[in-house]
Amino acid sequence: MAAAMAHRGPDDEGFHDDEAVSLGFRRLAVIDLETGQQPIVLPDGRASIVLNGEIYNYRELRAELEAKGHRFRSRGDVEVVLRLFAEDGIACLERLNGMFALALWDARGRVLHLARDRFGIKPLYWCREGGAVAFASELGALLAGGFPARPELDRAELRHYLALGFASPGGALLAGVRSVPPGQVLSLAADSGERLVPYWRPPEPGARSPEDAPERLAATLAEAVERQLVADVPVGVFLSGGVDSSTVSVLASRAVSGPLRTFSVGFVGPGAVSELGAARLVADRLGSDHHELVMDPRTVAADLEQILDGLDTPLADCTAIPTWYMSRLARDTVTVALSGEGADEVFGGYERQRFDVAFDLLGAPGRRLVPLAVRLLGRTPSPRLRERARMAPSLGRQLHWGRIFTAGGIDALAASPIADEAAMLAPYADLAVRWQALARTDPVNGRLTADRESFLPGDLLPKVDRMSMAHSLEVRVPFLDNEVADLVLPLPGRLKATLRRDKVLLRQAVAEIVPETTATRRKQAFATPIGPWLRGELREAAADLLAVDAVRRRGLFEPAAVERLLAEHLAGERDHGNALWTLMVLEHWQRRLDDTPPWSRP
Amino acid sequence: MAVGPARVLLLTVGDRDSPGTRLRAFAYVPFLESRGHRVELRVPLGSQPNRLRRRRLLRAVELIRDLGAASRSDLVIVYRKTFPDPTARWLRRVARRVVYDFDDAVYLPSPAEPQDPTAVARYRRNFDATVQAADLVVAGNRELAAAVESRPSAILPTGVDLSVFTPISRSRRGSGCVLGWIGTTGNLPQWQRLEAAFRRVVAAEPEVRFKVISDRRPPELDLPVDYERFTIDREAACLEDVDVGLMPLEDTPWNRGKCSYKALQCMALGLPVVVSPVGMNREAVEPGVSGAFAVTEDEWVDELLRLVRDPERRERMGRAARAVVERSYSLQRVGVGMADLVDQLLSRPARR
Repeated sequence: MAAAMAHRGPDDEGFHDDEAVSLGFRRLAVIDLETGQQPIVLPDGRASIVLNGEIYNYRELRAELEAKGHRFRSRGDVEVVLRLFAEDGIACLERLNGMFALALWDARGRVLHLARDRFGIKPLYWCREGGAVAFASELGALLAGGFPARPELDRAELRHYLALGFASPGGALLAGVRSVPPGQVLSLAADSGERLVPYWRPPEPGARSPEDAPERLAATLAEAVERQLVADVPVGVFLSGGVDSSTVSVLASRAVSGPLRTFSVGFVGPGAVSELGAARLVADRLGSDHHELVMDPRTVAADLEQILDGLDTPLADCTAIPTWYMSRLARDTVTVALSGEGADEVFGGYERQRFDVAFDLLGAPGRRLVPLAVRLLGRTPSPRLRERARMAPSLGRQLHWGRIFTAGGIDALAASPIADEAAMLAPYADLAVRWQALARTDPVNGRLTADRESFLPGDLLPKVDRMSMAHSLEVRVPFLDNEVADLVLPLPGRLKATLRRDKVLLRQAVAEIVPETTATRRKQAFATPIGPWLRGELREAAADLLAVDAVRRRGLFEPAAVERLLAEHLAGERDHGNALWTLMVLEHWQRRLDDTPPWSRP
Repeated sequence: MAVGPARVLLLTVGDRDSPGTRLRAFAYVPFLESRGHRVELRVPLGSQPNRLRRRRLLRAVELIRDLGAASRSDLVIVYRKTFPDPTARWLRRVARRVVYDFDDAVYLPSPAEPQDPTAVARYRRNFDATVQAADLVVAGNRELAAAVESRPSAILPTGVDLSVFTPISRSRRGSGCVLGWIGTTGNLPQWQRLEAAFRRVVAAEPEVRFKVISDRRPPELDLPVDYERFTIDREAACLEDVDVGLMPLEDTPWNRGKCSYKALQCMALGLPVVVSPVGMNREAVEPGVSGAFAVTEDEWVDELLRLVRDPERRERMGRAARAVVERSYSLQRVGVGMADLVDQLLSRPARR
């Protein structure tokens, strides 16, 4: 299993076995290069740990533990967590400020605890089969260990994937495999089954807004960036030129001695829009050691299989491609990179959030008039817009803005019925209730909460994790630092996004520290040109993965429906880039699954 | 926010007779319309030269008319026209979304115009101001895109209409070979620079002839040159009797902004080309495969003679050349590309 994850940790591996549990670890040496091996076992053997990620406040916690008499054998963060657990039990998780997926084995109480950080930055899958339980950071590792013994696609998750491009929270596209939800701990005991309990709940948004919020935010962000720069290896920053990554770059640049390393990626070729100028502007101001990579779609075609393999699970977000290249670029010079992910979900950076709020304000009769209003403006409302205008305010409608295939689209595509549209939202039941409550009191925060608990852990964070780990690069996300989240999450929604402006508070806070054009820069408008690529350099790959025979053999979709999608796209009449990519990613993953021989355990 | 079809305004420089406008702005129209958009194309009043006074008045009227149209459109594509700063600002204020499209080094005065520092600075200023007004800048090649720093930029080559430029099998009677060049009088000096090389080629192979297709007859040279006046309806046919296309180009900042159209036309007809490796020519032509590079007089002579003397080589390279155009430089591809970019911009809310 560990060998299947060598890309996550090329530097070392370690194992710990006792009669009940086997812990394996692939190490990417980032902190404590000499003595940071894992798994770590307490001297008296009563507990052991494997942890993927970083605990940024480990030094304060370590000081506390030393004062209580603990003697450390390593200099790093993981032993701190183990000893904290020994002291406080599972409650210790709440004190960790970092990104992590961990397994703690309480040998004495014979309980295995699996936990993830608050936002789902690091992945953790698990599978129970035949009296045994396996866990791993990637599906590939589980499969290598023979879990599940007969791998197959989870059809309920398939619908979720076709609709939104990722698996549901807590789920996975492999039947029988689940994911530990962010901010929760799963405790598995031989006799008393499984308990899944949140160790952290997000703070309720309030109405209070301190006057000095921008200043406090600026200071908190600066501290978070500084905290997350701690490493015994070189650290750099992903810089796209937008306000998020520029903020991280500027703050990082102040905290390091010597020029900061920054990285940007762009594409050439049909459909590619270069916004490298924006990143260059910031890099020039900072005097950073700026690295740029401009990719040709021919190279993308050549690398496609590798990129798809790196995804590990179907993820339809084609921005995985630039992330893969950015990670590869960064890995040449650094081992760790900071990135701006999370800002849009914490500060309100997505247009669709504001549109959905605007929809609310119109009220039901107003919403029904939206298609008419659009027509009066001389435009034709798209079917998707018309569908949305009929929906009442709900989590379902908010998620609808990001749909790849509509409900009707999935049904038209499917060869036999694929699960149930209504049941698709079942994993979000708790969130849906909170959403409704917030819709009345603070709709903006309602949208942000939903994004933080769906899109962020489902799409964005796994994408960054897989694509960076494919190159053995560790990516850290300062916007999701505990202190930043603790400060911003309780603030009222109007500080974050208004109908006309996004990330208001963030832009205010950084107005003094980033160039003005950057502080006011709108979100990157231009998507990864998957549409043009599929008509050009990736045409062959599309023809191969979506061939009529292949679709028929797979038996999931109507070959004619897929063929029509592809034909319309190639003719240039429509842009079905994202839909086609979604299907291609799925098919590729299934072929890899086919290649996995049924495992027979001794 | 996928909202459907829109009103698109195209503001151009020159009308259908002006090559750039015809091959880019006008060419986009059917592709935009196929997406359901309503396209309004505005050609400057009085494309013919006018008396100075009337010209200024015409320009003012044009401006008011254009800005009015812009305010009523969902998206404006400005082809090639640059505006001074105040006008550019007005455009940005008045238009909901602006795409600036250009295929020449319009940030420089053209070679025919005065090159004094004031003129050079003015051209650059106007270009920068126009770019600033745009939400997206589309350039004809990499060199041009590099001139755009502060705005998102995309590259769309000038495409060749494959339905008009179809390869014709040529059976050459005798051992003659025609080396062709197509272009406007302004560019003729580029061809003329090779006079010495051409002489040597003819001396080595007396059956060689040259063909020049232009708007005006070239000056008499002591060379076997046939001339045909360029007309749009014969834009492909005029090259029917040509065996090799030539695109000599001096390496200057202006020429680096050229979009290799001369070469691409010939390649689309299945002709091998010999070109100066300047700017986009280096990308469009693969030496030894679809054509050849030549810099010095000796190289021109060598490469031309190799093609003159080897019909099979011409045939092979010609086929490869056609394949390149089909793959990367067809009008179809470029038109769809612009439609995609326009749709992307339209799917986001406007500035006002």
